[in-house]
Amino acid sequence: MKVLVADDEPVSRQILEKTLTRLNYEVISAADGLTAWRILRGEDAPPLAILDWMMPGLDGVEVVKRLRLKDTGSYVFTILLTAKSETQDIVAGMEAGADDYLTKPFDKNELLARLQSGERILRLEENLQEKARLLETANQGLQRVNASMKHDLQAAARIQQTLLPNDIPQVPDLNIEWLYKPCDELAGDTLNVFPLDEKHLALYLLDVSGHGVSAALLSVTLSRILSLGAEDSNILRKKGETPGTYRISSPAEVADKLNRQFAIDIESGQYFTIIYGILNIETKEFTFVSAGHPNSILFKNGKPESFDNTGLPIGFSEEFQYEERTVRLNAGDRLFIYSDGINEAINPNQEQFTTERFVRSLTDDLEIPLNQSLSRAVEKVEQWAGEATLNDDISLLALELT
Amino acid sequence: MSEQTPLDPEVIEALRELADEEDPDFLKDLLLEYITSTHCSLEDLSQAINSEDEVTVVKTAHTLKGASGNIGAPRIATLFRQLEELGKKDELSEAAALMSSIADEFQIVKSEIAKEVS
Repeated sequence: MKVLVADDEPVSRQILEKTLTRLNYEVISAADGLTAWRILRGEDAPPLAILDWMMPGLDGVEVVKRLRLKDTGSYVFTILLTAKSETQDIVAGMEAGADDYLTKPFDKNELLARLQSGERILRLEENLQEKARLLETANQGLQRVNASMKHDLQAAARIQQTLLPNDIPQVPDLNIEWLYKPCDELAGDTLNVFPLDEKHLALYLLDVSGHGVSAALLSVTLSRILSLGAEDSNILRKKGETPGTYRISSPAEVADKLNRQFAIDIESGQYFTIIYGILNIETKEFTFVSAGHPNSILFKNGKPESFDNTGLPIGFSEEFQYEERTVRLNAGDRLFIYSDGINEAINPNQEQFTTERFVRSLTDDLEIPLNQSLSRAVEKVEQWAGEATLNDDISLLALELT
Repeated sequence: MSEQTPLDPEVIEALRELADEEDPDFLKDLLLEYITSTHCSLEDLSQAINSEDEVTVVKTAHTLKGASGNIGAPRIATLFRQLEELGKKDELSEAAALMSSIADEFQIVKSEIAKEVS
């Protein structure tokens, strides 16, 4: 192994050189501190350095200080040479960054022992650097995988977005607005509004337990099932006897079918809550079921009401009978259906936003357009969460009769 | 201190063992170099004492202390250490007397070295 010997005093330097050569070290000599420093900062620098404390120009401690300030790949193990009486100097030298010291006149066996201890530390250092390199490589691999997963998630999120309402049915005197904010790329929430026939609109908003990919998989499946698709008959309506007519499944029938088809997954504990309703365009009657979902909020004459009729979440109990409720919407009424990402949003102090705050926001904004009322409510939820960021998806669906 | 010899035979023997086929005259060259460099440094020391240059006195005495210790001359090494301490304490008035002891001891060391390398 290469070792640097720096001592301005030629007699001592020669003794050290000779001793080290006899111990099978490859010796590089420097007669002053500056030369030592140039050798140590140069390419192929020796990993071990024995530096005399007192040297003209740069002394041994100064060389060590410079060495420790320099950010190089490989560590240099430094031994300071001092006279026996200088204990305070030894402390100062070690504090400056020297690894060890040797008192003059030195003992050959002590020199060897200290150099061997230095070599052990250098080997440890080298192992550590090797492990750091392996970690760095592994980390780069992880970053690549992560980027690829992120790319996949974003692609999946774009697909999920296409399942949201793409064109809101135009109904006279009826204003329909919605807002959707996944907390990750993919959401467990989903919602939609579409015509079942000329007289009826289907509306739903559902929330699969949890969020992220696993929740999104079920949420996408449910979006597909709760759509008309190309089939003549599905969960929402059956073809009537007269061509072009349909028998529409009632909200309770839809809930029952979902309940039988989607029993809670035992392993993952995954389930979902939903509000599914049908709006009669002529009578403006809204008939719906709620399966474990937060109560909708209906504003009549500027006063909020909620319907306390929610049933069990879908899949909790096969025998459960879902009950329908019907409300008639009058001019000026606003109906809000939402997911618990709103009322259960928590701030950094772990306090929930609560339904009360949500209702207050909607009440305050009854005079402004419906879509702005939704954006402002969600803004308030996001402000509430602050640095805590959202911990669940947020979705909102609102109707207004003008 | 009185039991110390001018040259420590154990150190000299250890240095002698460092010689090898490539460098059979290692000990001789080393000791002669010691004499030459110490001779020059003693002149530097006298000048520094005369001009009350404590910094140079401390540095030179320190270097000579180390070199003398390394070649196994403990008695003169002790004298250089005393001189170094005088320099540190700014008491160079006593340095002239010490320098005279050092010069005497250096004569003894030189003659002992001559015996070793002859």
